[in-house]
Amino acid sequence: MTSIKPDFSMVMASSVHDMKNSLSMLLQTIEEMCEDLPEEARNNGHVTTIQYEAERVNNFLIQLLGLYRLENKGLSFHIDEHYVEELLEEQEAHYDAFFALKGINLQVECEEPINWYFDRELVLGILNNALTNACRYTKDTIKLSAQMEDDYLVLKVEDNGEGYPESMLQVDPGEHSDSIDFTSGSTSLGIYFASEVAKLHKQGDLQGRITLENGGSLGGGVFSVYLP
Amino acid sequence: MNGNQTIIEETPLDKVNLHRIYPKRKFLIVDDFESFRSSLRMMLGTFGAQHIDTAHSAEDALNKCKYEQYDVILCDFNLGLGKNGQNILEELRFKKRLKNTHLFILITAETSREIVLGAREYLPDAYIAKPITKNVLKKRLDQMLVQQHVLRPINKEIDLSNYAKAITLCHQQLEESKRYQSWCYQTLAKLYSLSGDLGNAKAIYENALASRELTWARVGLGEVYLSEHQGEKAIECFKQAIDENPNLIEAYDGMSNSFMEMGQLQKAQDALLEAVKLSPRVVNRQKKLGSISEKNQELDVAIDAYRNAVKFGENSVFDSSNNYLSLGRCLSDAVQNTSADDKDEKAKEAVDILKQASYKFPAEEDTCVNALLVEVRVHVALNNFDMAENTLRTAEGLIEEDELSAEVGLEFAKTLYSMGQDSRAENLLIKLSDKFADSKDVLDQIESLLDEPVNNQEKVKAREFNRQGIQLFEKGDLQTAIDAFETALEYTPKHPALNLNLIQTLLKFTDIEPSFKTQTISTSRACLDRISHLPKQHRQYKRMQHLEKMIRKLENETA
Repeated sequence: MTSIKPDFSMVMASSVHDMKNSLSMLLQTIEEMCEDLPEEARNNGHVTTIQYEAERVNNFLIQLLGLYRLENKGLSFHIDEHYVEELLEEQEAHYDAFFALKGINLQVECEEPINWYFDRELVLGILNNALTNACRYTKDTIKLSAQMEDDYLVLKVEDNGEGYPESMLQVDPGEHSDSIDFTSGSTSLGIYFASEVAKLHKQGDLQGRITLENGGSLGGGVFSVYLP
Repeated sequence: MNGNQTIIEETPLDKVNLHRIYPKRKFLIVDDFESFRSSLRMMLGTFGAQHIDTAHSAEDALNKCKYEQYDVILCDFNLGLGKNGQNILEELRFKKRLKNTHLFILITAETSREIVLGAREYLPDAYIAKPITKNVLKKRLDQMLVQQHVLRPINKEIDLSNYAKAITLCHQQLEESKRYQSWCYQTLAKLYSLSGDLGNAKAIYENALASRELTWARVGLGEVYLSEHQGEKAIECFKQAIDENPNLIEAYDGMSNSFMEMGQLQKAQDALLEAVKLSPRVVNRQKKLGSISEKNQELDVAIDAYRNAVKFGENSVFDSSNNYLSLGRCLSDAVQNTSADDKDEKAKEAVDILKQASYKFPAEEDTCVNALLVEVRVHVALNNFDMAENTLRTAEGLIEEDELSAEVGLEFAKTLYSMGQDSRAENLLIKLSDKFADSKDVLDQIESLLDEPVNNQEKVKAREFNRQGIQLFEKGDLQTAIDAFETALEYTPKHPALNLNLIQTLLKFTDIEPSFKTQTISTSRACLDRISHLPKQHRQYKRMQHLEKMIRKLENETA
């Protein structure tokens, strides 16, 4: 029997699957390790660095797979109804302790209980990206909030850092410049992916989008996801 | 409450005491990695869980589920060789071991679309992507356990099939809190449908759609229209749902069922084909596709479908000998199509799969016999008459002619025809039509075999000429009609309707051209001879009697 060369989408899916399983073990083991460490050791920079970088690898994997599938029209997209508050609480549970170790105060705000319709996994992915990025550029505060604006659900990640550079503010987040600058490349790729995911969410004539601004309630960068 | 005040609702999380819930729930962890199992077990322990079982494989998990009712099952998709997480879910649902009050959570690194879609079709309560940290898992579990707790009374009634009570409780829940509104409405609609109250179900769906284009409501509405036999309206709904969400398997299923309802088998097949492209791992759909495409005589599609049914059925509770036999049968039919250039490969695959059928299901006597009978036809198609004879003899050894089931009987007849043992086949079919006179389905199949005991290609050609003949008859072009019918008869000489069509046309022609009388009589007598085997129950029997009377009249006139 002739051996069949696996098609690349299978290679992708399989590799990413294996990497995610490994990451899973990595992250869980770090958590367990942390609990056994004395207080001082827990707070030293090494542990947080491992956690942070492991998170980023996971985000990159999700992004890689997502972008590949988008390109090949194979992206799995499920809109379901979700409790936005629970989503934010989950992010809080995810990042709170970790941010605290880095000296960052995480504020989560959801004024009213909102039930909205979106793809949970993909939107979580966007928020993860935004939060890990904000962590890098903020001074000491990050705010995650959700509110209704006309017919859109708006999820915001705000920081009190220097804000986005002019170059990023001028480009439409949906466009991706051909020359990828590898220092900021990862950020703009992440924003491109976020934009594509947002655009998949449609309701009648309305379509989702991403906006980047400076200012907001904390005076730094404001990353907003609009979902119709 | 003062209408001007904003009502700030307490989340159920505040009201329910999770510290009391975790210890009371029974958890099952299913993963083939020891490290993940123990890690998860430790996490659950820190949440307060006390009853935690683990399983390292699907078989282990299914076994444990036989003896224990778990409130929460956390299961990976990939579990090594053999059954996977989807297979576990399929089986638990099929055997009704998983109640509405239980939670089945797939927790996996698997993200491939066809796998996710396939697994979701069996409605896991959640699909959580690995990696997941302890805090996030706690949050998700908290939310799910609270929901489980709050909705337990309703789900309990549903499990007991007390739909009326469940409906009442749903309404109560809606009044108490906005929180689970969507779930309540969806459940209510389903319950109304199950209770036969389509009006109320429709109202809920239409109401929901008034505020937003919701998938569940659009599909639900389509299902209601289908139940009301309004095929066109149903299809509109499903089409709209697919426009919004091209991955929506339920909508393709709905479309297929609607087309079936309207008798449009080709379109029904096409819709199912779209669905299996998206979600190939669901065995029952592949079976259905195979069956429809076989009826539509699209052997290539049928073969692919049955191949997938066998492949994905291997570890599934939906595995069955039927899948193997159907594949073998379709391949054997395809081999008889002489223009296929992969004849030999298909023949080999057919013989292979038929042997597998007997091997995998040795206790099923009928399966073993059927497998042999189909195998005979493969050998005949390849002109291996010795092999054919031998295999037939083996099969006959296993057959008790007086105790034949309909299925084996029909297969036997088909095989006898292929071996040229026409009269033996006919006698068998007549005996079967007496024995199974009450079963319309069996009679239909018997008739179809009696009429056209030939392969696919020839059937298609005969039907085409028959169609032409009928059109020409209606136009009045009788001579060309006669030619068409005679050509058709070259392919299926014993087809009753065809022979009678010819007789009828000849009779009409003789009215115009009386000189044609002698020829009409002799040709018609030949026709009647060919269909003299027709059993009384055959739908053309009366017509044959009538036309025979007309021919006799003609004969007496000449005399």
